[in-house]
Parts: sequence; structure tokens; C-alpha cells
Amino acid sequence: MFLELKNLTVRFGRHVILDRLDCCMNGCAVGLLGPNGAGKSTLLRTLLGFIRPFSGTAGISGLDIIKDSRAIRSIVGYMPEHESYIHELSAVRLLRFMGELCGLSIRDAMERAHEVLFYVGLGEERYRNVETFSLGMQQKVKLAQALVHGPKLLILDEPTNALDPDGRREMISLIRDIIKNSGSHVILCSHILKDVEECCEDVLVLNKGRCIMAGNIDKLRHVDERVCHLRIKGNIDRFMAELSERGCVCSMGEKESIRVVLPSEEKTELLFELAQKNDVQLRHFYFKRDSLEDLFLNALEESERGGSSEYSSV
Amino acid sequence: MPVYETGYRTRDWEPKGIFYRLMAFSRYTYLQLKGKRRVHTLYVMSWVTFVAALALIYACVNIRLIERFGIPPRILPSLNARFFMVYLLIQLFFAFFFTLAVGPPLIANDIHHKALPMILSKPISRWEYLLGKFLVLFLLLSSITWLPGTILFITGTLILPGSSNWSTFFWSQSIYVLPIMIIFSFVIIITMNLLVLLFSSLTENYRLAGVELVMFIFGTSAVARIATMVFHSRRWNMLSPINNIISIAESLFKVANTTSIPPALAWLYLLLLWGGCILVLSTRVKAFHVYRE
Repeated sequence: MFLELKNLTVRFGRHVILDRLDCCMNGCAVGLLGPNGAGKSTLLRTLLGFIRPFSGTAGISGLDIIKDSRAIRSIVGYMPEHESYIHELSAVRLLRFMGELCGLSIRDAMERAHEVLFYVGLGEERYRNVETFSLGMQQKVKLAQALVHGPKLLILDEPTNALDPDGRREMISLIRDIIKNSGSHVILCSHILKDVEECCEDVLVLNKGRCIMAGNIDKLRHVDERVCHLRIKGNIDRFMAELSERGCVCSMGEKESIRVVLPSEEKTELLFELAQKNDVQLRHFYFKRDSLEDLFLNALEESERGGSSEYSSV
Repeated sequence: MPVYETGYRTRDWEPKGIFYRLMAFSRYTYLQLKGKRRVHTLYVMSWVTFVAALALIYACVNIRLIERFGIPPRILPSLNARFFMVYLLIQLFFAFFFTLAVGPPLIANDIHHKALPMILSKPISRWEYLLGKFLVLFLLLSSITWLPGTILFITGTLILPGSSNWSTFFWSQSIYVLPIMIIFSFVIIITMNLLVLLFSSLTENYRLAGVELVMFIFGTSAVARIATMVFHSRRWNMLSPINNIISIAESLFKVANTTSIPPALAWLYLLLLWGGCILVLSTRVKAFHVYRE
């Protein structure tokens, strides 16, 4: 289990920022999603040991965030959200400095700095002062400094913030390459659902400090199952009850539409059979898997209503 | 294989010790200072005192040479505790300007450029970060206070004739000067260092931090002087950290007290000042500060 949250609560005075978070993540890449003020950055800061939890704890690769804070920081690379650099240092010096702070020898740090800057595509600009870099280049430097010591876990806070489409594509391909080739775990915090969808296996969605959805994205999207959207006329309640009895997962959509997840052993004919039996007209029928955006919006809506989402914690 | 053909890979390595990592702060600050002429000039000037002191010691040994230039030998200072105290008090002046030139950007720039979360996400605690920043000035100020002082002490001891007071009463009256000089240098270094780190941590603008340091040092001295004149009491000298440092110097080097501040009170003042600085620094230097939303 590379990320484990155990009843993690963080409070600033009276304000509860993270409320009893409980989940385990084992995928290589976890997307951290949530609206503004959901507690995403606070969770990252807590994992890095910047904030002490009010109660509960969390673990990264079996290390406790309170007891083993230093050990965690030595295996973690953190890319902060905001513009962040050291005054008057060139990219290569900044990375060398960061490497030395992690405990690399001067020679290793220098070698690694060059290697990582070439990797992120700043090889030709490595002797330029970071202050003179464009925003996109600064994002790459931030990623490079997080990578310089070869971390086992990479925490990326809004890595595609303020990047143009080309820059974003480049950043995403770098992150995907890291996940694929380095064996490092990645926690990707982003507002852009597409970034998370492209890079991550697992997702953790927060709203108002609570975990409202967590788990494998493919499982949540029912990739292996058939998801049908129906618009019907007739006794919807009875129809849905019968579907549920047969093992289907049903949820109401807008107007008279319903979303049905068919169990693997059932065939599509079941829908027609039950419709006929209950005297229900099928006006519209199509297969459509949920996108991450659908899942996210659904989970948010459910949590705002105070109900529990279909998407359970893993 | 050229580096640009390698992809990203993690690697295992044995991390260096904490002191090595902390020294990275000094290494990179000195690299930045390399191109600053004002700092170079100041550094050279601070060594002029050393050369002058060395020349005086040489003159004490070669009185005939002095007489040849028509200088009466009685105006030469004798090598004793006061000689080293005056040397260090002159260096205190340079230490202040050196601190002013190097210290203010140390933390202020990191806060301004939001570098703290990046630095503190490495295996460095904020106390170690502060120690690293402290070492930057500690090493620099050491090189203009107790290190040249020690060289002067050794040179004087080696070249002064056995008949001189310095050599005759070396074990009873001279040897104590060396540890005292180091202790007093540490008093200067710690005070200057903590004050500048404090002001540097209070603002994002390093120029403002410098102004605050100047205001504190000269402001307290001015207030002390005015209060002394108004209330006709020299007790008010205590308001100024410089007066307290001088009082400590005079008590350590066993010289008559000119500030009217009891040494115990001067020590108490400085200890409280150091404690206050550390307390404020501990609350100001946090990765979290840069996340104000």
C-alpha cells in the first residue's frame, strides 16, 4: 500500500480542513481532485509533514507521516503549485543545490542536474537564470528539481497550471513517461480532469475536506461492464426495482432517463424483457461509459445532497 | 552514451550526512557573492585591520626600525588583552557592515520567491534550514574575527622576545586571551547573525530587512544616548545591544567598564535577545507561510 490515510483529520483552529479521511491507494499514479477549497493542497502539505494532523495519521510506502517525516521527504519529490525558485541561481545550480540538500554528493548532484534538465527538455537552457524563464520553463524546472534525487514518490501540485496546450501536452507526456519507466509512484493534484484521466490509474476526490470518491478510475467508470442510458415512459420505479433485483446498478438521470450498469452475466435483452413485463416504453437507448468528469460531477452532486455516492471508497 | 539520450531513471545512492547538506546553503550563497564587488571590497577592508595589527606587533619587536622612521616607541600599543579587545571591537564594526551586505537576502529572498516549500520538502527540517542559513554568516564572520585574531595571538606569542611582559607572564596573564577572544567573537557573530536572520524572516523585501537592522542597531543606540542625557543616568545604555556587547568585552578582557552596564545584565540582555530572535524565527520560517490564500 503506497498511500494509506487513516482517519486523517486536519484542523486550523475551529476550521476542519480534512475530515476523517480514510482510504488506501495502491496504483502507480493517483489523481487528487476536488473543487477549490476541498483540501487537496492541505492533504499534500500534511503528507510532506508541513502540517501536523489533528488526529489520525497517514502512511507513504509503510512510513508514518508523523514519525518518519524525514524519511518520507527523502523518498518524495515535490513540485509546488506556485512559482518557486531561488534568487539568482541558474537552472543547473538550482538543481545541484536541491540534490545536495537531499544528500547527493557534489559530483552526483551535478551529474543528476544535467541529466534531469535534459530529460525535461531544458538541456540547452540549463545555464540560464531561472528568473528569466517563461512560466512553462519554470514549471519544467520545478518538475526537474522534484526528480533530481530519484524519488520513489512524486507529488505534483497542479503541474499543468498556466501552460499553453503544447506545454501541457509535453508536461503530461513527461509525467506519463515517469510513471511508465521509472517505477515511481505519482500523486497528481489537478483541476484539469483530463490530465488526471490521461495519467492516473486511481483517483481520490475531495469535497469540503471529505473523501467523496476513491478508487481505480477504470473500475469506477465500469470499463469492464456495460453501461446503458435509457429514456423510458411508464412506471420507472417498478422497472428500476426489477433491474436491481437482477443485479443491475441503476441511477436516475435527468427527466425520465436512467443509467443502468449491467452485470457481466446478463445480456442487453434483459432490459427489453423487463420493459415489456412492466409495460414500460423504451424511448431511447444507448451505451455510454462515464467519463471522469461525469464521475466527478456525480460524486460532487451526491455529496452536496448529503447522500452517499454509488462510488465507494477503496 | 550521451546524457541527452538517457531517459529518466531512479537510482540508489548513499545520502551524505546532515552537516554536508547544511553546508550547501553556504556554498551557494558564496557562489552568489562571488560576483558582488561591494562584498569583496568590504572583505578586503576587514583584513586591513589585521594587517595593521600585524604591523604593530612587528613594530613592537623591532623598536629600532620604528625609531629610524622618527616614531617614538612609547606611542606603540603593548601586546595585551586590551590590544585584542580593540582589534575585535574594530572588527565588530566590519562584522556589522558585512552582516548588512550578506544577511538580509538570506531568508527574505526565499520567502519572496516562495522557495521555502521546495527546500523544506527535501529531508531538511526548518531548524536545519535556519542552522544552514546561520552557518553562512558564521563562517564569513569567523574569518574576520576570531580566525585572524588567533593568527595575531600566535604571531605575537612567537615573535615577541622572552623579556617582554607578554612572554614573561604568558601562562598567567596572556594565554587566557585566546579563549576569551573566541568567546567574544562568538558573541558578536551570534548577535549579528540572529538579528539579521530575524529581520530577513520578517519581510519579503531584503532591502527593508537591511533597513530594519540598521534602524534597530542605530535606533537603540540613539534612544540609549538620548535617555542617558535626559534622565542623567547611564543605566539607559543598556537599551543598545552594542553597549551590552562592549560591556561583555570589557568584562571578558578584564578592562575597566566604560558603559556602566553590569556584565551579568549585559549577558542577560543578549541571552534574551537571542532567545527572542530564535522564538520569532521558529514561527516565521515555515513552508506553510507561502501558502497564504
